[in-house]
Amino acid sequence: MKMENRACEPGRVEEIKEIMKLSGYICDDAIATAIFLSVKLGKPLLIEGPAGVGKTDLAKAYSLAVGAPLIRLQCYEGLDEAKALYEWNYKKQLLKIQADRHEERTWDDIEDDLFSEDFLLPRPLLKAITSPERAVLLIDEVDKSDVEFEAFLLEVLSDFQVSIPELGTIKARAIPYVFITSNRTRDISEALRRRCLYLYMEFPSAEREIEIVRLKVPEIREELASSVVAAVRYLRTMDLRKAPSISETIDWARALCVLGCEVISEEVLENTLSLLIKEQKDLARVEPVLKIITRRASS
Amino acid sequence: MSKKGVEGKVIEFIGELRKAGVNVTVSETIDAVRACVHLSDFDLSVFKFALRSVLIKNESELPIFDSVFNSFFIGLPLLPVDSEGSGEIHALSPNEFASEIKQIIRRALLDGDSELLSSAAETLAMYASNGAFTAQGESGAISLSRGPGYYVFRALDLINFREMVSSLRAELAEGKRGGVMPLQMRLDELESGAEIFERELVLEVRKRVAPRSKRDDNRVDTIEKQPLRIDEIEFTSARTDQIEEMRRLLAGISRMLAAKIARKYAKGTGGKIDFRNTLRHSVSYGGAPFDLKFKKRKRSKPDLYVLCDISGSVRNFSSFTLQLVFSLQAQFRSVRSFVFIDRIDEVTETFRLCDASEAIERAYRESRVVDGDGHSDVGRALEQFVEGFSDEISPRSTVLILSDARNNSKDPRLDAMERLKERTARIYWLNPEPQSRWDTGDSLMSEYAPYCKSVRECRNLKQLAEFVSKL
Repeated sequence: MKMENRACEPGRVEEIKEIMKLSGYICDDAIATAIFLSVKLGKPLLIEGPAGVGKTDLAKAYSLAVGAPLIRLQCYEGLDEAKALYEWNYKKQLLKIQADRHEERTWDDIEDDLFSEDFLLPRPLLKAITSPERAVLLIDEVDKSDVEFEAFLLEVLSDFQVSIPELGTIKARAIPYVFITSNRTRDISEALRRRCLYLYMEFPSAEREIEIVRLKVPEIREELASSVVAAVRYLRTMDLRKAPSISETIDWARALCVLGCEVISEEVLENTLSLLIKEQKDLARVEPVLKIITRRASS
Repeated sequence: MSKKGVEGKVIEFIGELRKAGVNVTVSETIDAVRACVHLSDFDLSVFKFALRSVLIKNESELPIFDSVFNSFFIGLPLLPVDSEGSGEIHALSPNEFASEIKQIIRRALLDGDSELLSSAAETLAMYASNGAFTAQGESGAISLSRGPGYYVFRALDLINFREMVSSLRAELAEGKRGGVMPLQMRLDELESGAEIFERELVLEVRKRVAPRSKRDDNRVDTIEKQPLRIDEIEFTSARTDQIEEMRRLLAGISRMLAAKIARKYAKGTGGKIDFRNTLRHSVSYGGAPFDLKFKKRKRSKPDLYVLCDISGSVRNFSSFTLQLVFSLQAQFRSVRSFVFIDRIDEVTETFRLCDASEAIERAYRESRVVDGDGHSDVGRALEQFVEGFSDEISPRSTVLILSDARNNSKDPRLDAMERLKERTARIYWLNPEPQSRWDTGDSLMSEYAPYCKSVRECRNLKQLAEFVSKL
């Protein structure tokens, strides 16, 4: 499904908030300003923060908001240029040689044929660069990639051009909007940081989270939404291995609506706790304080 | 402000940031100025976030930015800085800070300047929640566990807020402060200002205190010139809150290492092409080598025995290493963990039930590791290990010893070390002390070193991860 490219570039920070809200993402001033500048200055936006605050969703929502195609590069240990940039389609090249076997052709002709764009398998980075319309490039969890890959990324992100020995240099037709996320399992190099704008995302304020819950779960009553958020926020202050993320808040709110709960009682909380707490050790810590949490939620 | 004026101010501001120890490059300065051009209507909060996203590239520098920004653009006092990291910046003592911010809040309340009030609340909250109060006789670890309410209370107390409001009210009522507005209106304005201030203060403190234990990077207690990276903090000198952060980071590191090591064992990777196998398969493609086949690399997974000194000085280090090795269990044929002070005991089983620091705590509590005076005795532990587990160690075993090799002038029992070397494939020794301190005092590092395949300095998470990945 291809969305029409609205091609409207926001002229003010407020407009970012509006279009993002239409795509189901509530921004505060800090987030909206960072996106705005990243678009205006044509620089990648590096987003850091705890897991589950909506770093990846931000890029997705922005691509929806401006109607640009989203190209995602998920980083992992061992990711290399071939998987991120391009590969030659080796099997197709072999087939071509087989098919051409009986034609009288010189090696030069064949070579030109074999190393043409027909046999190129573009991977996310090349796709983003060659995309005819301005794309949103999401480089997710860059901290999981190797240091060498980061250096390579630096090169691509500073010039938005790639050289393929057989084809020459390919320049970006439209410089993509780049969002890079990191969970800080290792430190990102200073050089990459300097190339980007920086946004540190925290868990949202209570008001913003209530707004998010009400946007995503429209059927929820206002009081229940604020109880849900109060309970989740309390859980986040506990020293848990994995604090509940925003998407878990939304799941929980949705579940409570489906179950037809009006208020969060201790029993309801106990039965639905598995939606919020996903680690055995955390569960053991939370169970004794269910009463406190329900009290927090109802106040 | 005119555009031109903004430009000059921003450049001046960057100068202040640099003085406070933030490294700002020329291209970032250009970006900052360009950013200002794009901001159409002036809004202080947007302006601040704009500068912040352009100039600050590391979460640990955010508090410095906030403090300098509030001081430069709003005229609030800079946060007090402790003696270690003062840099060139003019540092205020906590008392000076309190009296200065008090003046500003007073003025803001009288003028009904709500913008100034909320900025002042932010600065005060930053100060209050930064553990600056710990100077007054509380340890950082204790104040960490306090809720936001505590910090709000302390912040209000610091500036005698209630007293200030009531004295202002009295002054207004007595007509000391002349003005054109009717008295009632001014009183109302004061009340609403006070309300705004308190509300903002609570909000700001919450923002800083509540998520604190879950932060990626701890807020520096005071402004440090060069914030340390968590994986470079030394095991032996880490603070309690830093250890929490390190523990969090460790989980990520071990996941990454597991992937790395697994890739090493995975078939195909890094192996050579198996020519015969490839040719055999090419038959079905009419002789074209479509399917490349690789030789499988044979690697034996090591049996790992970890011997950890858990006496005070190296305890943190041991706990981290045990945890790391444990979470990588799948990558070894078997892992067995032992802890010692002057007596050795196996904790492999305890480990399955709880995490490393707890397992160590238990071994310590149940006094299975102390016979004598509670000082470590590497020699005796080695001796006991060789005697007690001689049947189980095999020539395939890898032994990993974690200790500072400080034997408290007891017999090093090099004979036990010799026997251990003969019976196992290799011995590694990790020492959490900097290499320059080996062999000083009662450290016997170089006496044990000849028996080890390698002796490594391992002072922080980074070095630890590096070592384990090559195991």
